[in-house]
Amino acid sequence: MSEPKRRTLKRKGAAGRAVHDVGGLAMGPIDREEHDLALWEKRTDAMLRLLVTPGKRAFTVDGMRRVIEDYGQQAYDRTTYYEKWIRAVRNLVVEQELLTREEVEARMAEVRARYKKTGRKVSKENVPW
Amino acid sequence: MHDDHDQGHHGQDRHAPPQKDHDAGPMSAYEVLEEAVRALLIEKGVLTPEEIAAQVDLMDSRNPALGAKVVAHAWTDRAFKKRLVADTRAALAELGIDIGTLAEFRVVENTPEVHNVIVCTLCSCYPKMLLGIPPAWYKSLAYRSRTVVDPRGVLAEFGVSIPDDVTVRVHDSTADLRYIVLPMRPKGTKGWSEEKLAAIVTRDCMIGTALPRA
Amino acid sequence: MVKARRGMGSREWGVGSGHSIRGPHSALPIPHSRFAPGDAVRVSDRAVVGHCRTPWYLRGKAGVIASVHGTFRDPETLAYHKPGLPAQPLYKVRFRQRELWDRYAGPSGDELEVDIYEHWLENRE
Repeated sequence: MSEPKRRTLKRKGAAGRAVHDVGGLAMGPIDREEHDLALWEKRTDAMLRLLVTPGKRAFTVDGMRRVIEDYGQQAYDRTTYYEKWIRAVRNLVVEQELLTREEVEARMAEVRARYKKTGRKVSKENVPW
Repeated sequence: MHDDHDQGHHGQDRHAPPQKDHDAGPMSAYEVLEEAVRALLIEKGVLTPEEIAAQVDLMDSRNPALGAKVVAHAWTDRAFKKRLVADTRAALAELGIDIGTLAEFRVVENTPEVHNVIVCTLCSCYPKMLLGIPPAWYKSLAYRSRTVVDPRGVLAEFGVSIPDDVTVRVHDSTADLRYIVLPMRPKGTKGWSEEKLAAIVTRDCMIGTALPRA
Repeated sequence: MVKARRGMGSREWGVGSGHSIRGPHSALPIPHSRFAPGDAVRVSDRAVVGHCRTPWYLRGKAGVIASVHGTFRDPETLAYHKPGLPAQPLYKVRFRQRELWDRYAGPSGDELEVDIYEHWLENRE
């Protein structure tokens, strides 16, 4: 297996390499199973594209990447692509003061309660800020 | 031997399971978050439901079949192919395809001397406005990490073997350029219609992890 | 001929068509770029603070300018809601795989190309 000249293949967050900067590491076999996107994922994609367009300019794709790069290694490795991005959208709209943290948390509680009433199971997990 | 295996889900980004109906499985916190954020942004007048729906439709309309049509056209029209490589945005515009403002596109042409493969090690940049949403594997840590350092090993996993006298050229999309591979037209396709040619150009052919087969 | 569908390239969200787009990621005209195709360059090796689009595996590595893309706003400051000016020339830089990795398993002709901003490149000549 090829190795980079100055770095080992260990998965570290130190020595100037951020958690998202994975080129040259060996991170296992490629799972080629195909998935359709869930509607919430498509909507996440839609929202982020709208929020970065010149007309809206709420923030940039660069801002979203920066936010995602600041997630810890565990969060980075263990969340899916759209889980990362919806968290980034939330953090950036709050950073840009389009929404407040309190508003988001209150609305999440409402949405959860509404689904529970219909008998739908809802995860008790929180999305870390 | 690397010690990544004991750390859990390395190289295996999960995708949310397809939501067939509302009763399928518990809602994840992220799904709840999406609904909360969307509702709030609509209430605040930042977004409208119509434009969100329009964007969802737009992304649905962009898919590998669109890219395949472009490739097939390039295979049958040499002058168009030259323009496609020289100025991809303008050539796509000739076909009525507007790729939007977020990125520039570049077509990289496979030749008997060079086989191209596309990756984005830093995130998952992909020519979505032509090919639609990328496959989960393209976004995976495994593909992102290994393709730059062991492209032939990755290609072998995809069942593609490139001879040693052909250069494998990997493109890491680190900026605002999105790359699309123009595969070589295979032998045995002489006289084929564009439609028939497009049918053999798969998504993976345009990423560089497959070759079209006649 | 691919017909544009309603919704493709719509102006609803400020998307234009053609070359002279002026979004934060447009290819602005090049005033003067330091490097030209064929130039021997080296990727800077310095500590990164904040957002950076130069991968770690390239730091300090030698390459050659394959092409000049144009001038783009700087992602490192765009990431913090700044306008990303002055825009930086962006280059496609070609590397030999055998020079990037200690024990690259493929043939010596294999290459890697990466898009790198001018402020991450130094003259090697």
